[in-house]
Amino acid sequence: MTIVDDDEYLHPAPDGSDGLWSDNLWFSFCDREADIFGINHFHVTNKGYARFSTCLVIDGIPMPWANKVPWDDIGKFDVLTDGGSMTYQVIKPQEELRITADNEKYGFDVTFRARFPVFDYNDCLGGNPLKSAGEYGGHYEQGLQCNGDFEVRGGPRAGLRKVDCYSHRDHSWTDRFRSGSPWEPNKPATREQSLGHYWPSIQTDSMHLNAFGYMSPSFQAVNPERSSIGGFLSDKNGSRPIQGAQCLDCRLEDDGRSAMSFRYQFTLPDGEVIHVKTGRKYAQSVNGLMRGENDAECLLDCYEGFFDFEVEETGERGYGCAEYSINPPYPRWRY
Amino acid sequence: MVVKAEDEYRHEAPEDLSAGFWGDTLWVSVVDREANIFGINHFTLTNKGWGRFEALYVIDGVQQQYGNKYPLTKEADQGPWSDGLLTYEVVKPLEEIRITFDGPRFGFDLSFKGRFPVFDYEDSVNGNPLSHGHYYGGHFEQGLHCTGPFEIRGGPCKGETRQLDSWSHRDHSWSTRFADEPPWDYSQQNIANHYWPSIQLVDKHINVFGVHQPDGPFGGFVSDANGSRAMLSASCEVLKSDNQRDAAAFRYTLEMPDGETLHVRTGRKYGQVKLWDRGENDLENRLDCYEPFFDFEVEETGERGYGVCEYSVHPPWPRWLV
Repeated sequence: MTIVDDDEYLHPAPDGSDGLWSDNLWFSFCDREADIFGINHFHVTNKGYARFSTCLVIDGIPMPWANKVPWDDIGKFDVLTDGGSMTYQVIKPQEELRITADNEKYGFDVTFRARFPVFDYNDCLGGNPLKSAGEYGGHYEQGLQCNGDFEVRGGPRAGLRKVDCYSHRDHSWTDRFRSGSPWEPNKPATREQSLGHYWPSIQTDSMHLNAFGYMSPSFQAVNPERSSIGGFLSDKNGSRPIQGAQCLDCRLEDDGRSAMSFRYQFTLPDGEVIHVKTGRKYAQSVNGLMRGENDAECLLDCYEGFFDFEVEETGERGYGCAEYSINPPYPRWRY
Repeated sequence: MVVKAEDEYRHEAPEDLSAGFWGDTLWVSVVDREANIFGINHFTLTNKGWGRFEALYVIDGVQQQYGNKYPLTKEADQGPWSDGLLTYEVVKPLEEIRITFDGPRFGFDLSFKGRFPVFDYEDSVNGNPLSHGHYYGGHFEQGLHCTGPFEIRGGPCKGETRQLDSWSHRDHSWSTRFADEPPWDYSQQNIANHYWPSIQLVDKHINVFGVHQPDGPFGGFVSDANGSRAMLSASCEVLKSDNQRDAAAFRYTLEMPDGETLHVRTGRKYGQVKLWDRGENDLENRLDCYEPFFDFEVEETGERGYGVCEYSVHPPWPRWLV
């Protein structure tokens, strides 16, 4: 565990690097009672701009918001903001964060407090699996408790709601999206070849389980010498790396992109093997704006499905987010 | 209850309707979570000298669908009805049917026995709700127990034979459905139309038909140790995917025959198929009627089961399937 308090803020690109480099912050909403689900995302680059987004689903209706603004101050900040429509503050490093939003359709002021300690993805048993796909300065994750006020400003159920749910966050600093995309993307010949990564965040009353890997057996890592599987279990014993993970089933709708269900196998830190399956689906959103320096080109279709979960061996039930990706991004051009 | 043993077979159109399009429609579900096989067997047996034979399946999460339009006698007969590969046979009226298939990608020999008595939709609380759209000679439904071998003949599990043993459901209509000419033109929209779940629980089977529009027709029944009785009312909440067509989840509010209200919600989704709904024109899609397969949970009791959540979206799109 090498995460330090300063890692809560922004990281400069490595010396000698002048390509795209960014800090990326990801926070989930998963409130079944309030019927609010989605991802709050910040993408702050070394190119003089930052992207802010709240890709939310309210009462089953997608209601995303995003903004891109100049940002030059890489390092520590008091408030990370696009000018007021969205703000991010570190209240107490590794323990408490705050996000606010104020747009035409909704506004919120929520606090995220640690349920469990931060987990450094470098502590995965094979090292940080994200390095199989690119250069990572660091990446950590944390199970959280989210509380606050959420005002819906339109639609049939406008009004103030209380948010009170398990949540999750991650923070990466990386060269992601630095390398250019191909002139024409490869077209997978089969459904299986179209399957990208899986990355669920499974919250129950006793634990938080998180794992990253690739669904397709034909996946080829950019850096094949790196392990491409990782993850951790947070419980009363802290946050520890899991020994293994596998996505056994990703069932898609006819569009070949929307997931209807998942089933995972996890080998826990003590060697116990459990299986977790999704139950009811509540919503689907995306992981912010997956763009490099070209606003018009989507570089990754990273989906966020919000589900109930059930541990098959124990019947323990929970909920959370089942992130996954489908290749290639389609439509590629979004303008 | 006016369904008779002979209602298991084909019906002649009433004389004043016999010149138009008329058909018996048979619908039988397969929902086997252990075998990982889900599907609908669907037969449209018309008075025009042909039938449509469909075996619409999801096997290990992958859709495998078979359909064929094949000659039949114009006159009503007692079957078995077959296109040479897919066959429907009444073994014991109101109690047992058999469906076999011998296709290139999969084959099966399945027996469907009554879990509960047949329910005549005329016995719905306000009469047959289906009669609001067009003429219905009759419509009955029944919760079933499905058993038999299912052989997979392609893909990664080629050569595997799985034994099915699960709850199933069927219906049988005879009506003028799709006899009317549809509009000359319409635009693409996504209007939630009917819902029609078949909810199988350990001790009961619940089936309700309704529409999302207010004051629309309603019908349905519950089958349990007391037989098959009419439900009093129902409503449906649905969560759709971004395309406004694929259903991600449902929640039903159900008023039982004794006045008790239950809420049933879907859990895990296993797959989805869409019926091959046509009139006499093979190219014109007449109804987007979807059949997703789900787990269910009764919110008040925690009781769990599984089944099908049929629903439709208007208008059918794409309209022309060339």
